[in-house]
Amino acid sequence: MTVINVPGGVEDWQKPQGDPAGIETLGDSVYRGSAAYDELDELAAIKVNKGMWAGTASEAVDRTTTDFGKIAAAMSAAAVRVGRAVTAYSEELTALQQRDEELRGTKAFLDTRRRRLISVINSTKDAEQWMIDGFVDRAKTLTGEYHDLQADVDALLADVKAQNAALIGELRAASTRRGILEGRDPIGDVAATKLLEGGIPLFSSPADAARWWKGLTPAEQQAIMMTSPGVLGAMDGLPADVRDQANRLLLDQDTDVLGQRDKDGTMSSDDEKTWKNVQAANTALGTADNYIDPIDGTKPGGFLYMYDPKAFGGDGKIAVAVGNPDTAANVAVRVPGITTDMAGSQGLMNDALNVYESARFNGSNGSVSSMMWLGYDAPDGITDTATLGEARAIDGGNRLADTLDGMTAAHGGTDQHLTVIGHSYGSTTVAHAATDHHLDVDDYVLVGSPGAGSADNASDLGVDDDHVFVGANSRDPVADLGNRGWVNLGAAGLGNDPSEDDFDATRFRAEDPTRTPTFNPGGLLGDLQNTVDPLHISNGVNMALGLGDHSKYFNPNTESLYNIGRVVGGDPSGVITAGHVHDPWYGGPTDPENWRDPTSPHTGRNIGGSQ
Amino acid sequence: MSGGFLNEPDGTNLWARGWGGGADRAGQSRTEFAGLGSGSFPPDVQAAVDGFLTAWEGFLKEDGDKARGIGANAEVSVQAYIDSDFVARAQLERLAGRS
Repeated sequence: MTVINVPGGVEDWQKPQGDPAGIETLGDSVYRGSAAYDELDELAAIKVNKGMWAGTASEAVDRTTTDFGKIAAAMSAAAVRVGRAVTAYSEELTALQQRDEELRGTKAFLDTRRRRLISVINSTKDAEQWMIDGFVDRAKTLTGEYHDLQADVDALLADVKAQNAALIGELRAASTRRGILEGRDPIGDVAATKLLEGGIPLFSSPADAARWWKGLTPAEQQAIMMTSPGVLGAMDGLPADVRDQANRLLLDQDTDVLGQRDKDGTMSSDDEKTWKNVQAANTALGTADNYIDPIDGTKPGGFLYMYDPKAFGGDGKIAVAVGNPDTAANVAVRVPGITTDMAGSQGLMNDALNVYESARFNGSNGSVSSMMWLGYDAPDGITDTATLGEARAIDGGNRLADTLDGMTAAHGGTDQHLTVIGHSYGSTTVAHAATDHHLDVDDYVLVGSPGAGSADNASDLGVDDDHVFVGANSRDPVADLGNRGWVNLGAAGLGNDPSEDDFDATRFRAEDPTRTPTFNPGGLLGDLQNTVDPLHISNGVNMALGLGDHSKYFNPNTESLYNIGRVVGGDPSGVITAGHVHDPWYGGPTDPENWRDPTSPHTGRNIGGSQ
Repeated sequence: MSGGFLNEPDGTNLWARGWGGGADRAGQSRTEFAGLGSGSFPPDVQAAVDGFLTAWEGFLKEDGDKARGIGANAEVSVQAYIDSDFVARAQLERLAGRS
């Protein structure tokens, strides 16, 4: 007789309790408490008696306010720490409750199979050996799956317990004056020790940072998150979800503190600029958080990868991705050009989402992460002299290379397809990152490029030339600036025109149905249109048409976005190519795209290059 | 006029009043603390949350009162200084007139 050991299942467990939204409300309130103490601290720092008021009373007030300022600063720091802890707890609780739901789903599925197996066994009479063997196998499989489920449940409950203990520790440490003023914060001490041990590789490679982070215990990681989110949020090499959590803590804190100052009317002019950046970051991140994947209807989620609203003289620094860049099969990083700053984050986010959507229709259903990256000081506009030189692009290239190295280290060398997209001055920045550093990038896309910086040829970017793709709208005056052949050598551009045949990149179609009409006043150019691109007879003519066509490369239902989606989605054979700009020594440059009628391929459809 | 005399009495008074405003806002934060977060936490964390909220209501009241006290005393002291400064100036002017 054969005994079939059907597993007993997994006992029900305690659901992670609590209301994340209500908890976050408390975190906001605690941040506001820190803002009140900040104000008192700042008032105390104003030495009123210098040159205005003298005497013993003045000196007494000075002493009192100085002492009071120290207390206010310590109280503010404690409130910030608790605010971070509560906010992080709220986010973690949301994640734990989601894990709980998934495990309950697994349990229900296994229980159903278990009941069916028991039912089948009980109803089977005179079973043959092959049937019994089948029952045994099914029971063994179920046993293994229940074992895995029990392990996952145990891990969940342990995480709940650890998370509760960490918050209780923070709250208790901040509940007494002694704990606050004497820094009696055991959790903070762990983090501080780690910081002082030289364990944080602030100035070493992203790969070292990734190894260091993985080597910490969860308690150590949590402690450092609470005390030093600014360090973690900016550290290249750390996982995207860690950077996201750290940067969200900073964003929440800034939102509450500056929001309170705005309400009180106590903002400085610097505060007002920062406040605009903070609001823009919230809007862009909210858009990414709520974005719904066009294929599977899920939310891939937003990731605040980089955040510093005061960077670059107040222009700000930010990177937001939709979809996890550590785990997605296809990752795009888009680098913008002149006039972009943090206050305009929403426009950059929209472009990143358009790239995401286009790339998702990649035929292989591969997951996508699309990031808008404003991690450098882009020139302010065409009147900014920085626009005419490559210094910002070189500096930006260095910064971009750090980010890309960090992403490579964070995803641990798993098979991932990475595309870096540069628009306008951002294409020059991307070219410098590629030529000045050894990057682990699969494909480059340069659109609306005023020049490819130090790259004379596509192969200078560190990939084979068939992995460099260029979009140049024939009506885009900026794409007209790059150096070409003999005639335009030494033009106003920032390196060679990557859409020219000599550059050896793949040029794709990027004309827009709403492009500016051909410039041909009164038909004066006559048949010349058919042989020579009038827009390229003189750069001055093209500039006169305005910059509208320079900003259409990421618009939905355009040739450009369609082709960018093919590259990002890992489907280069689907790219619809265009003829290169040609600049013979005996005449002016010609652009075959100038006379072709633009099409409007739908963003949400992969037509596989059959257009 | 050389050192020791009050050159910017209005600025000094504004500073003193600023203290009072800051203290008032600290007091308002205390009000906002009350009741928030109650019932949102799991039972084993809730006690620590309640303890924290109670403690911070006390801290904010205590520090708000203290800040208000500093501001009020400073305002009185500044006004006294302004008055004495006025008397000193008047005396100087009288002396100057006599000479």
